[in-house]
Amino acid sequence: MKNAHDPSLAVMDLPRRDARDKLRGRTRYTVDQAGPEVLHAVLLRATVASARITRLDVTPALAMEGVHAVATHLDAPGLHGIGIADHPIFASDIVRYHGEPVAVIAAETLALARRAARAVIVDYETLPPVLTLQAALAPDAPLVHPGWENYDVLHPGAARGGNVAWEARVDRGDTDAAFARKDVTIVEGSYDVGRQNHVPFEPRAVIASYEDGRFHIQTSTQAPWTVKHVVATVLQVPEFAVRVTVPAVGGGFGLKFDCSLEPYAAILARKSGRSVSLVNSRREEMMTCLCRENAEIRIRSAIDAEGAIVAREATVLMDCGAYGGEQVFLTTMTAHTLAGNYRLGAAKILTRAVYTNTPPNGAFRACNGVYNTFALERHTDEICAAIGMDPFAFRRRNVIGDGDIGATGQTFQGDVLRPMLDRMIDKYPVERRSGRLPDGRLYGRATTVGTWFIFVGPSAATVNLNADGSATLVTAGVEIGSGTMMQSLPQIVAANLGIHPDAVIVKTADTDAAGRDLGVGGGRTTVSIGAASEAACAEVREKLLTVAARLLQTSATALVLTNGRVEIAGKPGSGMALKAVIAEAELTTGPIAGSGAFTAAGTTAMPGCATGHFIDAIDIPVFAVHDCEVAVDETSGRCEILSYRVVQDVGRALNRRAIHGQIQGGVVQGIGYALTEEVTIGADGAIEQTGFDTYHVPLAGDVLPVDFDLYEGAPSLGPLGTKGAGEVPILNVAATLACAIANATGKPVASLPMTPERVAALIAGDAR
Amino acid sequence: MAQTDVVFHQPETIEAALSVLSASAARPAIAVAGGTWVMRAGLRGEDTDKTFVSLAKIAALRSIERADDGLRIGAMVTHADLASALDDDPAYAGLHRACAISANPAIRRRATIGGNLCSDAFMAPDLVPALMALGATVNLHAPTGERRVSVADFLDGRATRPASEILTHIHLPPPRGATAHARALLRQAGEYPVAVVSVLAHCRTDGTCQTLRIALSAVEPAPRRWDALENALLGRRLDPVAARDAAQAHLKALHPRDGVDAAGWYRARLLPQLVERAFADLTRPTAQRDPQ
Amino acid sequence: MTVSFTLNGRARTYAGDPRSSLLEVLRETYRLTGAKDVCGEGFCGACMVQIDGMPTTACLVPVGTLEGADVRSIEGVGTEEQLNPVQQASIDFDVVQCGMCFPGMVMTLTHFLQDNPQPTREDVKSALTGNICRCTGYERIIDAVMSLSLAPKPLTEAQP
Repeated sequence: MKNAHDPSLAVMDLPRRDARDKLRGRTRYTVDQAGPEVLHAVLLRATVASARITRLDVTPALAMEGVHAVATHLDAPGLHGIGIADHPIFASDIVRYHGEPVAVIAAETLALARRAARAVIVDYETLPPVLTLQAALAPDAPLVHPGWENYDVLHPGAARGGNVAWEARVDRGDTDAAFARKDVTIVEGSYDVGRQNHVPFEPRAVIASYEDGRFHIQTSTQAPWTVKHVVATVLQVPEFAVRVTVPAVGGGFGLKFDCSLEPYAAILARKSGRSVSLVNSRREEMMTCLCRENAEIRIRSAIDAEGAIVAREATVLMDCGAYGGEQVFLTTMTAHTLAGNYRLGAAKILTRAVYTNTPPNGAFRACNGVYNTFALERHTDEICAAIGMDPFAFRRRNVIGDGDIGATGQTFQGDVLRPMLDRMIDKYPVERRSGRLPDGRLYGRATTVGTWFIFVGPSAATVNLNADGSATLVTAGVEIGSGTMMQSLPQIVAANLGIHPDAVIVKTADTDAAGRDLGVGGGRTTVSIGAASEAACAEVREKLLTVAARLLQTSATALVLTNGRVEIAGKPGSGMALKAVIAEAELTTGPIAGSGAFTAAGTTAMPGCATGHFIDAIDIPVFAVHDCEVAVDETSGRCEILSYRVVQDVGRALNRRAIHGQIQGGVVQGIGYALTEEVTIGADGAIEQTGFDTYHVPLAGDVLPVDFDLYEGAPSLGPLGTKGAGEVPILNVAATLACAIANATGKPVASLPMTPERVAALIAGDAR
Repeated sequence: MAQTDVVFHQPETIEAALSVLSASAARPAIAVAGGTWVMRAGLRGEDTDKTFVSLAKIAALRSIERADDGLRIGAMVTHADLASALDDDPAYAGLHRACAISANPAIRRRATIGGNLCSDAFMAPDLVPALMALGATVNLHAPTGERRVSVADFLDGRATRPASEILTHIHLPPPRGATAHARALLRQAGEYPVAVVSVLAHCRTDGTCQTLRIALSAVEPAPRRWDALENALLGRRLDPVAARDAAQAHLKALHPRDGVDAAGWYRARLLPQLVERAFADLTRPTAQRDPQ
Repeated sequence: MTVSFTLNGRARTYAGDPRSSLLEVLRETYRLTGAKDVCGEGFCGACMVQIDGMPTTACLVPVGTLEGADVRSIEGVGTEEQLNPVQQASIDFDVVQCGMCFPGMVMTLTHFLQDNPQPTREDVKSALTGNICRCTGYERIIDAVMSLSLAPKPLTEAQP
């Protein structure tokens, strides 16, 4: 009965129910919620990158009229973190990054709170900061966390030490033997990448209140249950004392997958007895963004005479900033990217998350997959050049396929990348990969592959069938803009219950109403919440059809749900309206509801293969093939993208138009990452791009329509065979542009972003 | 609100504005034109508690007048207003371009000529080098009287101007020759340029250059004339490639600045190409000009 | 001092600090939160309103300069019964994502189409130079705008 419905019923270009109010300026995001009754809070942030706090006196601020509460480390003793609990929400004795919160003040107005923050007395004894990966790993480097050994380890098994927050390893097969072979060509490459700021239009923002001994936190988050957990942890209160609700979220892109401002507002709410709003200014958002991290990647591969990759070794250094954060988890994902696209004889991969005295980094759409794919695909083209093999033929020969072994020894199912490559090249045959255009600019073209994963994990859903035949879906899912909660989930529920998606009410996230959920990110919402919703619908269907079967005097297996009715299969009009069945159920068994749950399948790795990993293997791989053509001006180094094409593995496309929106938007975000978005850190440890004048996101004039082809039918655990489609469009954009620019210029592109200045420097070489 | 607490004035005459600006008060006063610079003072970490003296209601500052001795442009004329006033006048092609493509449409409708000249911390104006190329002068009005200075002299003394002085208008002599304006951006549009070259060239009947003014912006902390390059090209024919090569040879005369947006070496690298583009524009009909 | 102006067709008299930005006043005094405070620098266009018919970034306008002005914010555009054409096309083409930039987009594009009823894609992009969107990658917004162009359309053009 569970799969009795037809999956194609869920496929449609459903419009978004939230578009109308968003277009009319009616939608109240968290930043729009604070009315006159709410206090405004401001964080006092450290103005040094590394220091000992010798004096902290908040009394001058507290004495100001209109100031209601001030909080410091004394109010939040707990440490939080991923893998390691290394992160206090306030600097206590030690400042570890420029911008680290030292105190927070709630006052009648924002202006007053700012004045009060300036009145707080803080004295620093500055310490020499470690601002780069090299500085952090130098033998005599100062330790960012001198007490690192005392932290609670939340996920055991990884090597740690000094400024290395976390180390993940993969050792599969004997790479030493492979590299020692006489018949192999060895190719090595080193790459480095800068940070990327998410720039969600709605900054991180929260309004907290404290009522009846519980915190109510309204926040702009992707992960309400994470917020609940972290607030409870750092305030040292029971988790059940925290309720999190989420208004419309004005963009997340991974930034809001972590708890951030919520605990500060919670403390101030409890202290002041008032609702407290805390919103990052754009400057704060730019300077303390949990960016996609800067990193250094070294790859070495051994290729035999046939062009097979017999072994690969790689080392990746990820800058986690002052605290471990998501980077600790993401060390796992290096292996699945660098050893995921291609069949490898043996693999040895070492990834370190490294502490520096810089603002902490975090998760950003496809995370380290984006730069590892850049490094890997540039390396792949360098392999092709070294062995004299056509880059397309090499990829076609070596991409991972049915029965091949993944990074940690899992077996992949189905040939996906190879037919995707064929589809791209059949549609756009390669005439040339480099040349000169009539206007004098350099022409380059490249095709790349990418492998990423759908981040599954626990989700819960409840479906209530209402008296009018509509359904209410209750989950902790959040609409962050991608449309999942507005489109794919109601489409899935509606198809399961034979009603129109408009008749599926989607409850906004409220941890008091919905069950535990890992959060919206990693392409997991359609898959994990979708699967939990399907499971809830199965229970609803069973209850509904049992009652209907009695009323219609037939067996439940003979019934189908369609058009808001229960029908005897093959006999339209023979049955009755849902409303009638629901009314009968209320008289006999009570209202109909169902609950469902989902979690990761837990695909296993080869024993002994992975160390320090958070997931052994990837439950749902997702693949992408990208192709582009560029024109590069030799003097200015400016790159114009002439064409951009995507073939994306989506499992099943539920809403083609919405996926188009994700692909266009994701590719453009990748274009920004690849070409213009640069974050640099000054000698004082502060991020130098403090606003939109210096941080250059793509504008309308910088983009082009992305051509796309959705590849359906690859195996997936997702409901109706779906995979998440919103995260992966950014995956190989930097890779593809880098390979195309390298082809155009004939230069070894090895750094991101490829700003005009950096490309010009590469072209100029020593002449500069 | 008590008289001493007045934080906003909107005088209707220059004299009234000067009297507010020169009155001694607890709070410093600042002249506000389009607001696009002043309203961002807080973001720059500057003191925001100043008395605003809005010049928006002073009609005399809003006019553009053509006379035999040239063009008089009121300080409160916006970039967009000036662009449309100059639209079909090829003699002002460079200035038109500077007004019509800087920043973005909404900013061009607010940001004024006077404000652009007076924002001394703003290193990348388009308008200022275009005015320098045209040989513009600036009229300043203080309680002690009026004075008229070249744009270059105005820039030199800009940081130490008395607060009680208003830039009232710009005067452009009748243009003799052709003008062009070339700028380099990191994206297609919508940002401050990393280098700007604005040129006026007037040639004799034999095609050799009789008057040449080449002004730069964004390259050094303030706009300037590139006199070394002017001298090198004066008396020669307008040849974009030769101009590019000469620019390359005279980069040493400059001190390009390192900024968060671009390093000094990169600004310098762009200049010969910009000079070439500007000179190419000078030598072709307006309609076919480089859209960059 | 007070400032009297028209806001979405209604007379208003503002009595707070005249140096405040119009954006602050719209959001805090009148609780019209459709205009968003995103960059505060005039780069992003999320706070675009129309002042005397012209699209203007509200973050850079001191409210004291608005005596007698006609201000229209996104809340004064379209009605519950009938959206304005830009709003309707944005729904029809499913282009909205997080939505934070759209009030500003609507203000800019509505004015732009009045002056340019038959724009090219490049014209639309130029008009959007001061309106940043972080979600959509712009092109589908341009598709929606082009559907409103009075210019004859080639048959091959994408339809919603």
